[in-house]
Amino acid sequence: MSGDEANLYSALGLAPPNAQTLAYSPLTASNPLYELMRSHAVEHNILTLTLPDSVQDRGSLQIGVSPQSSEDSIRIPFANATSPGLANSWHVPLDSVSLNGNIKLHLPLASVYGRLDLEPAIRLPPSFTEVIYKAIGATPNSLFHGASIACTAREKLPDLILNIGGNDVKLTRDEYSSEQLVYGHPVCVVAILPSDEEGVAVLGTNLLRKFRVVIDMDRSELGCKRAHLHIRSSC
Amino acid sequence: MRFEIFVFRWLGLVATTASTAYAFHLPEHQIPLQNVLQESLGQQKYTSKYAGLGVLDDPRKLEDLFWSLTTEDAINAFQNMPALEHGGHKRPIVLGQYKPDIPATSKESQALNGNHPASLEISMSTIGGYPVYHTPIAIGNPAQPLRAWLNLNLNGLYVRSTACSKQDCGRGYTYDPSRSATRKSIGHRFEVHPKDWTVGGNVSSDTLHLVSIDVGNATVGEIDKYEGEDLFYYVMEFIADG
Repeated sequence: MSGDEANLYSALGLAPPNAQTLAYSPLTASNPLYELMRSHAVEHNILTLTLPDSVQDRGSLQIGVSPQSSEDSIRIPFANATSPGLANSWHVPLDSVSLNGNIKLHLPLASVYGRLDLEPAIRLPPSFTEVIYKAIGATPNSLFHGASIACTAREKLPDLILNIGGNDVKLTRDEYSSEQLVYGHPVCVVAILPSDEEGVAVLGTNLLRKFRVVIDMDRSELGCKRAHLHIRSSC
Repeated sequence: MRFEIFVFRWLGLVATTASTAYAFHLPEHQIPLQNVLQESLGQQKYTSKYAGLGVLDDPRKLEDLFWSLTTEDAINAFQNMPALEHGGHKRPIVLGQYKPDIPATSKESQALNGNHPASLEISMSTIGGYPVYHTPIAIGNPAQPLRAWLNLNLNGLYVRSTACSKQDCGRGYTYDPSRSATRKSIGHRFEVHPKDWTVGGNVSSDTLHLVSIDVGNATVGEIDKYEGEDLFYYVMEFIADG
């Protein structure tokens, strides 16, 4: 480790407000966002997250910015599912997963919730991940954070469409796959992984960095809007 | 070119508190944007709508950041910023400095907070090829700057305490509980055992500064015991409840 990495010995948890967590076990204590709301430090209990795309890029975490009506934004109520994999998470219903391109596939999901996460991957329930791997010719690979795929096949990967709370969100092949050099040889990786539970999905940074992600704690809603400073897609 | 400046409400105190001792000391390469503007455009005073820390490399929204700045002046100011050239790169700029070192419970502090929004700059690093996102925060009074790893599923606020030896906790930003006038011990220790590792320390409460926002009596896990591999962020993944 070096530079900033060596300094990353502090952590700020942004899990949903909770007065009684075991973050400081065995003590039961409130978490930072609960304490933010309790302090009435801001008029609007809203987080707006814009992630950087690279180490050279910069993003922002805005706290308390007022909600703005916007034609290019969607709002999805946060769910309150009780699966262990969804504890301490911001999660929304994931209604279906589709592939749209030279390969077409539509997988309706029932009682599956997507957890917002800063992991660089999309995780889907294991049985659905398996179907997608088969459709695109990917192979699970523990050496990479994802599944490997022939680079010639990567060129033809279809769009991945996640229906989140009734809204289609499209990821292009470049947004959910990458080409990496390993010992000088190109290796292509699809950032789709199986989740630990059938009812749990993970909406990672492949998705989140496309948008300005608004976590509205007052309304318990996820907002998703076109970035103002970064030119990014709308939902 | 891209404009990236991270802004937050600051109540226009830059001009009036220029001589105040600041709790947050700016790195040498960061300079207040107000100073740059006034140098570029003469002695006219410009009062910011916001305060913040960030990099300016595009003039487009300068006029949005200062009440009396016109578009023409914004472009002129940007074009006349030779002082920002450093090693072939634009220097990072601060729009406003951190707020003055005053007790967090004072009326002045409450006035500074004023229920206004804040914006923290997020940077990305990679550890073993895995991206992690982090942001500057500060804790205590006077405010002690730290860089915190962000996690949407983590419940705690954890900081590396000066009580943790360099051998165990490495170098870099640390929180010195003895230097904070607002720190209160809760009288408990926490200890978690992710896999074969141990992370522990005292639990206290102190003021969490998120740039212009103060969160009083925030619970803080002061890490003074760390046994395990040097992958703090990975350890922290396991600290969340559940």
